[in-house]
Amino acid sequence: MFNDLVSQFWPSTIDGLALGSIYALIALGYTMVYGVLRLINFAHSEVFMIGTFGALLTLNILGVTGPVSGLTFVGVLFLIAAGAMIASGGTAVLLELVAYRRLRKKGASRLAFLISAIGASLFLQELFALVVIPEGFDRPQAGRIQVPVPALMEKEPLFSIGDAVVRNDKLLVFVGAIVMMIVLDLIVNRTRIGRGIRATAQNPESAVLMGVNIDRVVLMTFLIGGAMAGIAAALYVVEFENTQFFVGFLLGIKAFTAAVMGGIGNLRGALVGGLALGLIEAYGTSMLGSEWQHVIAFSILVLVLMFRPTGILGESLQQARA
Amino acid sequence: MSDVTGGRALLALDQITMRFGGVVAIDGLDLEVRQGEIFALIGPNGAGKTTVFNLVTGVYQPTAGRVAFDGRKINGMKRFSVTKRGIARTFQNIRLFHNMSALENVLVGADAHHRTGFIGAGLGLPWHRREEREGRALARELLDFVGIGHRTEEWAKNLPYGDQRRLEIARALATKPKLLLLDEPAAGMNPAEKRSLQQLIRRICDAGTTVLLIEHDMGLVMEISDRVAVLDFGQKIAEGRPAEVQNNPAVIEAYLGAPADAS
Repeated sequence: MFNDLVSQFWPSTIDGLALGSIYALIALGYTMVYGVLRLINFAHSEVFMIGTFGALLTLNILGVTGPVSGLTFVGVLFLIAAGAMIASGGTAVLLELVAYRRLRKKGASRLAFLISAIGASLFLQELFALVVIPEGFDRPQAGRIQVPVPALMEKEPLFSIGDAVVRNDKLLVFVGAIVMMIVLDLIVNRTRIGRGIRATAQNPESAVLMGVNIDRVVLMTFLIGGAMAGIAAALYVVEFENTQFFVGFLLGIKAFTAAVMGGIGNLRGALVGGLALGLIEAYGTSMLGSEWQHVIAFSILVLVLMFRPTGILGESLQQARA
Repeated sequence: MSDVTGGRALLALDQITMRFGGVVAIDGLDLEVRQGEIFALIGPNGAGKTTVFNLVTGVYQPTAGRVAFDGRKINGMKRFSVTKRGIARTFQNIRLFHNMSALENVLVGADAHHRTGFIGAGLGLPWHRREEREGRALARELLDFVGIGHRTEEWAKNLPYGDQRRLEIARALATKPKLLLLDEPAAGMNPAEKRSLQQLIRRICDAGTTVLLIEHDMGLVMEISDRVAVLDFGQKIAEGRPAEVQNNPAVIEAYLGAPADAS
C-alpha cells in the first residue's frame, strides 16, 4: 500500500494540485460570503455548475469543435473564462437578490437561509436537468448523463519532475488558479471595494455608519465569489471536457470542505485548504484505490471539524469582530 | 431658556418618541443643535442619551416625531445615506476595524464620498486614482490632526486605548461630517488625556464641524459646551448654558435623587 504511495508520489502530487486548484477557486465563494454574512451559501455549487454551461455555450457560439493552438487558444480560453464568469457571477448575484436579500432585511434565522439555499440549489439543478436530459429519458438514470465539451487543447507532456510527467493542461489549471488567487488578494487588500468588504466583515455596524453601503458590498461579495467559481468552471471543462447538471454537487461539497479545512472566512485558507484536500485525495486514492476518493475527502472534513474546527489558518476576514 | 443667540438649527428633533415594546425610552423630545456649537447631552444612566444618537444616525426609527438635519427630514433614510448627508459618530464602546491599519480605518470613512465605482477602480481610471490619492492624503492629515500621525501603519487593535478613541474620531471626521456625534469620548481617560481631548473637540468645532456630545465627566462638559440639555427617563428636564443647568433644581434632583423628606 505504501509502496504505491511512494511509486505514485509525483504523479499523485500533480493530479492533486490540479484538482485542488479547482476546489480552492470554488472554496473562495463559500469563504467570502461566510466572512461577510456569516452564512454558508449552499447554492454556490450551482453557481459553479452554471459556469460550466456558460463556458460550453461560449464554445458553441465561437464554433470551436476541436483543439486550437497558439494565439487562438489564448483568445478562446479568455473568452470562455469570461463567459463562465458572467454566467456564474450573474447566478451568484441573482441568488443574493432572490434567495437571501429579503431574508436579511427581515432578520430571518440562519435556518431560513439554509432552507432558502437548498431550495435555490435544487431549483437550479432541476432547471438544467430539464435542458440537458433528452426527451423520454429515465429520470433516475439522468444523473449520469454527461454533456461533452469539445476539447480545447491537445494534452501533452511539457516536462517531467522525477518520474512524473507534467501535462500542459494540469499546469494551466494550477497556474490559472494561482494567478486568480493573487488577483483576488489584491482586490480584497488593495482596493476600495475590498476595504468595504473587510470593514463589513469585521464590524458591519460601524461600516454602515462610516457610509459603507452594505447591500452593495454584499452584492459585490457574491459577484466576486461567483466570478471565481466561473474561472474554476472554465478550467474544469478544459481539463475534464464534460459537464453535467449534477456536477456542482460533489465539487461544491468538496470545496466547502476545503474552505472549512483552511479556516472558513479566510481567503488564503481557501487556497491552502483546496490544495491540501486535492493532495490528500490524490495520495489516498493512490494507496486505497480511486473508489475511496470521496470517503477520504469527507473523513477529512469530519476530522477537521472534530479536532480543529477553526481550520488550518483560522478565521481572518472577520477575525476579532466586535 | 430660549436664548436664540446661536446660528441656525443644524439638527432638530421634533416631538420624538421611541418605544421598545412597552418601554418608553424617549418621550416627546424636542432638541435643537445649532450650527457651529458644542452641544452636550447629559443625564443619569439609562436616560436615553445613546438612544438619541441611534435615532439621529438612523439605527432606530422613531415611533413618532421627526428628525430633521440641515432642513431635511432624515428619519426613514438608509443609514449610509445619513452618513453621506453629513452626520458621523463615535461609539461608547470602541468599534474600530481591528484588523486594519489606522490609515485604512480612516480610508473606509473617506470612501463614503468617493464616486468612482468598481469598474472604474478595476480599470485604474485616472479619476479613481486621483480619488484614492486624495483619500490617502486626507486620512494622513486627519491622523495628524487627532495626534496619532506617527502610527498610521499600526493595526487598530494594537493601539493604546486613548489612541483608539482618537482613531475613531479621525475615522468619523473622514466622512466630512457637518455634525459629529461623540458618545462618551472621555470614558476611561486619565486627566491629562481628557485635557488634550478637550482641546481636540474645541479644534474640531473651530474647524467648522458642529459637535453633539454625550459625556459623564461634568468638568469636561461644563468647560467645553456652549449649551447643555439634560435627559431623565427619556424626557428633557433642562436646557441652557452650562452654568444655568448646573444650578437647576430638577437636574440636581435627577442626579442625586429627591431629598428623603420630599413627598
